[in-house]
Amino acid sequence: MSSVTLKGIRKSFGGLEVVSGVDLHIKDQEFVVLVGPSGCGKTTLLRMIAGLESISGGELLIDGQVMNRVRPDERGLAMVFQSYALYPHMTVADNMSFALRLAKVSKAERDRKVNDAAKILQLDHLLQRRPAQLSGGQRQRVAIGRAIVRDPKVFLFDEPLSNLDAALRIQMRIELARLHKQLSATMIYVTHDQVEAMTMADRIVVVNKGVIEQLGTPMEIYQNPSTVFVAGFIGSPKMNLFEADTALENGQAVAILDNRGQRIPLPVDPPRGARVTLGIRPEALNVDSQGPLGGEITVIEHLGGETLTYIDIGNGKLATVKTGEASLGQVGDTVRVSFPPDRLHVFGPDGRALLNHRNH
Amino acid sequence: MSQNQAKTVAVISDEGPLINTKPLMAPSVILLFIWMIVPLAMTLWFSVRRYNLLDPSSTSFAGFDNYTFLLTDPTLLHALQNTIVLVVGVLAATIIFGVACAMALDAPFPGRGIARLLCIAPFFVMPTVSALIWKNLLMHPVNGLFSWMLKSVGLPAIDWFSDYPLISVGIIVAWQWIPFATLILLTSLQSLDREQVEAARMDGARGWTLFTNITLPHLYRSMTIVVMIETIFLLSVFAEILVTTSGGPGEATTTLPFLIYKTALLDYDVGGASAGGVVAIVLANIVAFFLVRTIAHNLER
Ligand SMILES: Nc1ncnc2c1ncn2[C@@H]1O[C@H](COP(=O)(O)OP(=O)(O)O)[C@@H](O)[C@H]1O
Ligand SMILES: [Mg+2]
Repeated sequence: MSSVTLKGIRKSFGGLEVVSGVDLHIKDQEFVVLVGPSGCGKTTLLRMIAGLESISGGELLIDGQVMNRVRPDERGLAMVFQSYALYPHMTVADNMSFALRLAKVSKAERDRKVNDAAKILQLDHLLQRRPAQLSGGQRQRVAIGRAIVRDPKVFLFDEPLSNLDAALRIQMRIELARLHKQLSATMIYVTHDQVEAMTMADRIVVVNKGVIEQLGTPMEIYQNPSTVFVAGFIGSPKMNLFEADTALENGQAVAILDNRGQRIPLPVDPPRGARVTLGIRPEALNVDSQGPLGGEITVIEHLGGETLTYIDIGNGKLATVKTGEASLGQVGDTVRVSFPPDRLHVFGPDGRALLNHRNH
Repeated sequence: MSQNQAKTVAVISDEGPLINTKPLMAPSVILLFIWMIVPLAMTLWFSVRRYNLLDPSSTSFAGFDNYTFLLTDPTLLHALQNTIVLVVGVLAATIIFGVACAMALDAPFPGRGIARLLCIAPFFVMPTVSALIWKNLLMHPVNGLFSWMLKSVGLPAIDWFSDYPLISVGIIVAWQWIPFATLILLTSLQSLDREQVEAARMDGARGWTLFTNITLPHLYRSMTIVVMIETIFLLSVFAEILVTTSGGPGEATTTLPFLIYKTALLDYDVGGASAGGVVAIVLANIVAFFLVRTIAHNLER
């Protein structure tokens, strides 16, 4: 059993508060991804869990034990760094067995563990090389191997794939997911890439400006972003977000878009005269000659299996529509689009969602 | 445009550069060549001559007499020994203290900037000046700071230059070269990847194990460079010896360069001194051969 609990964790550098009260419980064998824009404090949070950064406030528990003041090597964690941080003067095998050697594990035991890890990661034939003689993907695997060998309670990853090229990143993503199953380990993974978060996580933690913005399974977060920030951050292409005024017309709350004053009936009743933000996923928009939104097609992007069409709905504001292989029309055409009422997200003036979608 | 470019490229690859650069480089190449070859040739020439400045008119061909005399003279062996002891000793001292100083100056503490400046300062003091300061202000058996310190704790004063002549010279030379080693090693320390240190900390390394397993291997490269550069200068240490001990007492601090100086300018034996010079050149080349080989090997990694 290895769970991690954060209770009101804070971190300040000088007068600047970088992490402002994070509460999080990570269950045994869970794969949790912390995702957020760069500079939001993800790395700082991970380093506090690892023990590389002191904790300014709050409590960190691993398996129910307070770890605030425990040395990094005694927390039972292993970390994979963004730069891999391999020891350049040691062979791959020595890199992987370094921690065991310091822990005075016998040579035979060390060799066995290194060989086991090397087999899992297909590093068998590279054990006697030095890091400088390896490719980026191989170095990455050695860094992971170094973590595996220690048999840690929890694996920590800090943007481990960001130095790899796109093809390799996808491959490593799959390998990491497989590894998680194989090792049944608890993993905390930090990234700024929402695709990595969506594809690998059991649970996503969206972090923004040092606080948790939302927490949930990838699909929960995709379908029910609780704030405008999460709505815009998760999902590719980005969710369409339109600012609007609200009014009561014939007993029905409507949003009046800033762009051409298009009227969209609201399923909720916002406070009188409140400014709201409407969110609609690009794939929820369909061509409909009676639709509330419309305009000229300005750009069409063919991605092969899918097509993105950008429609100018007024004042240069573009709405993105995602379709299959066929596009909505041609550049210059005028089209109208609508959406199923249950795919409309409404966010209040404070940026919080005004209604919850439970099912789709 | 692109056709033109293609033509230019073709010309370069066919006939070498468009301009003949040899005449342009010639002056510096010739000057450098003369600069090196003339003194070398003269040294070789004088080393096979019988030529004493006390009687400069009577010179004659000596064959290998100068060499035979030199190589069978126990003074040469002693001088070689002194040279090696001095060079190796000072190298060891500068590396050890250089690493220690660099580690200290790398850690954050108030007044670090000033401490760094002070630590580097001895490098800018002229060898004669520093030797005089050490001789008269620090190591002097009567007026020196060290003897005062010893006396104030009730110990007898040490006459450094007669009791430990070579060690004393070594201390002075090391004092001048530690800043150099510190400077190079400090820059190297600052380039040590922070994440690598943190990875090692998570692996359970700290204090001494962190130092020997991560920091020291990282410093090997710059240590090699320190050794190489210092060796070149330490093989020819002269002013410090002249100012403090003049090679004595006896031959205790006579190194190879000082022996050559003694032979040429105190015994006026130009032939013998030249033979000594040739021996020094051969020695330096042997050292250079091994140094360059190990260093090339070290830098490759
Ligand atoms: N050692 C430090 N001293 C001062 N400020 C820091 C330090 N480390 C990080 N920060 C600041 O904390 C903020 C969050 O950094 P970080 O956790 O690295 O963000 P992320 O990993 O999400 O990109 C940044 O604004 C950064 O400038
Ligand atoms: Mg980061």
